[in-house]
Formats: sequence, structure tokens, C-alpha cells
Amino acid sequence: MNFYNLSSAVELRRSQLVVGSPELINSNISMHDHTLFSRVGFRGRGVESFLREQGLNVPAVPNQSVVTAAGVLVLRLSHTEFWVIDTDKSQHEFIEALELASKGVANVYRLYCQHSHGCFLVRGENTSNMFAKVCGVDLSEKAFECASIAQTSVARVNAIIAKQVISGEEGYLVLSDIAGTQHLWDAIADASAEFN
Amino acid sequence: MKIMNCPLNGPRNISEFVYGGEVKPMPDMVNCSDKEWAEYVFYYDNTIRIVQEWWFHSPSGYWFIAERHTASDEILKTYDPSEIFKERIDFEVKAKPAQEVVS
Repeated sequence: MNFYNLSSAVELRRSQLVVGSPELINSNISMHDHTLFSRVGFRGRGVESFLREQGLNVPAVPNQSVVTAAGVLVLRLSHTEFWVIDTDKSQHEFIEALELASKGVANVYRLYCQHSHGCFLVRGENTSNMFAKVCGVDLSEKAFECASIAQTSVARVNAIIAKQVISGEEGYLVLSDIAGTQHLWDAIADASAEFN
Repeated sequence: MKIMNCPLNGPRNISEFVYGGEVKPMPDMVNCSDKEWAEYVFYYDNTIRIVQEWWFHSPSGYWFIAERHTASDEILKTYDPSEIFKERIDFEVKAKPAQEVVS
């Protein structure tokens, strides 16, 4: 099979999300569309050592994340599944090089999360209270520490929620199937409205 | 809401899970009869006992095994499939002789 580079043609990517304007829902909660930011996923028994060889720190246990000083976020979604995400649109070359470096590495298989998922960042003072309305998992400060990941249902849509310090501020990165992101965006915006 | 304990993600609403059938020993897929294969894929005993079942946590795409009592519907235990399945199973297909096309 030919090796297709999923990170290529970054300038041709288009987000289908109609986010409305402004992205700041209110003074307490803000939402930012990160769908077009580069990301790549890997699954397999060889991924952990592959990422370490590439100079990335990886979390020791599933459902944890680490972020590098340069803004590359590494999510560990299971013992053998990792997603590497650019958090400030500056690490495209790194992600692309990482994807190309995985070619031919034993027990490392790429995942199509660039095109299969939408991604957005939600942050602000009342974000965890807002999530309590749409998500069954307790994401409050006490129960859900920074660097935790919850893979669960949000507003009846499957989603991955990663809490991490992104661009110097704590926030929740939400990844969800691309077909459902508009619904999820609107549902979160609607749930946020009352915290004005 | 019923809660199930996912071995990877912890307790989650039952609506996040999908049933995947009973855990049964797989017959030799190359040499078994069609009847044996159909029994393996489609038929279950349906008796009152504790069964081992495949369950799928949909948001994380994770398959695991649960032990459930079929009468009380109580889920007694959930665990990673690696506790039972230690080795990868490859589905090697024996090449069949080409059949003539009957027109």
C-alpha cells in the first residue's frame, strides 16, 4: 500500500464548523475552533517507544496527557493509543515529520484523527459547571485534575475531553466526530449562555 | 441510569456501551463446518448463569470483557481482554481452487 501523508496540504483544510461571531460566548466561557490545527494519532505496541525516540514525553498511564513547552499535546487514550496535537497552530512541521517518521516502524499504525475529528478549546471560569449540564463525568476542579482525559458522552455525542494548560491558560480540549461537531459546538454554546 | 465500570475509563453510563456477544472458544475457522461456524457466531445458550461477554465502550473505541448474571443482570466483573487472550490470532485463508463460472 502506498504511504499517504495525512498531514499534507495543510493550507487546503477547511473547517465545516459555523462558529458564529464572536467566539467568546460570554465573559466566563470562551470557545475556539481548533479543527484545522495539525494532529496525528498512532496505535500499536511500538508507539510509546517510537514517540520517546522522537523526543516526546508520554504519559505513563492511559487517560492522561502531557504538553511540551512548544505547545505539542500528547494524549494517551489507552495503553497503545496516542494522539499528538498542535495546540497553537505553530507545530505543523513537527507533526508532519512525526507522521513521516512512523513509516515502516514495527507495531506503529497511524490513525486518521486529523480528518475524522473536529477539535475545539473551551475555557473560562465556569467551564466545569457548564460541562456538568451536558456530561455525565464529573469534570469539576476537585475530581478532574489538570492533564486528565475523559472519553465519554457530551450532549449525547461521543467525545474526548482533555484538560490541560494550553497557551498558558487551563482549558478543556474537546475532540469529537467531525460529523457531529456542529451539534456539539451549538450545544456547548447553548449550555454556556446561562453563565453570563 | 445504570452504571458499568469500564476497565479503561472507569464508571460510565450504560448508554455509552454496546453489547458484543458471548465470549466463546473459536472453532478452527479453516476446517470447521458451516454449522459449527454459525453456532459460534449466532447462537447462545440463553441459560441462567454467569456469562462472559464482550462489551464495547463506544467513546473510546475499547473492547473489554464483562461477567454478568443473566437473571439478576448484575455486572460482577469487567476486565481487559488481555487477561484471557494472550496471543494475536491471524486469520489465514487457505486458497480455494478457482471455481468454474456457470453461465
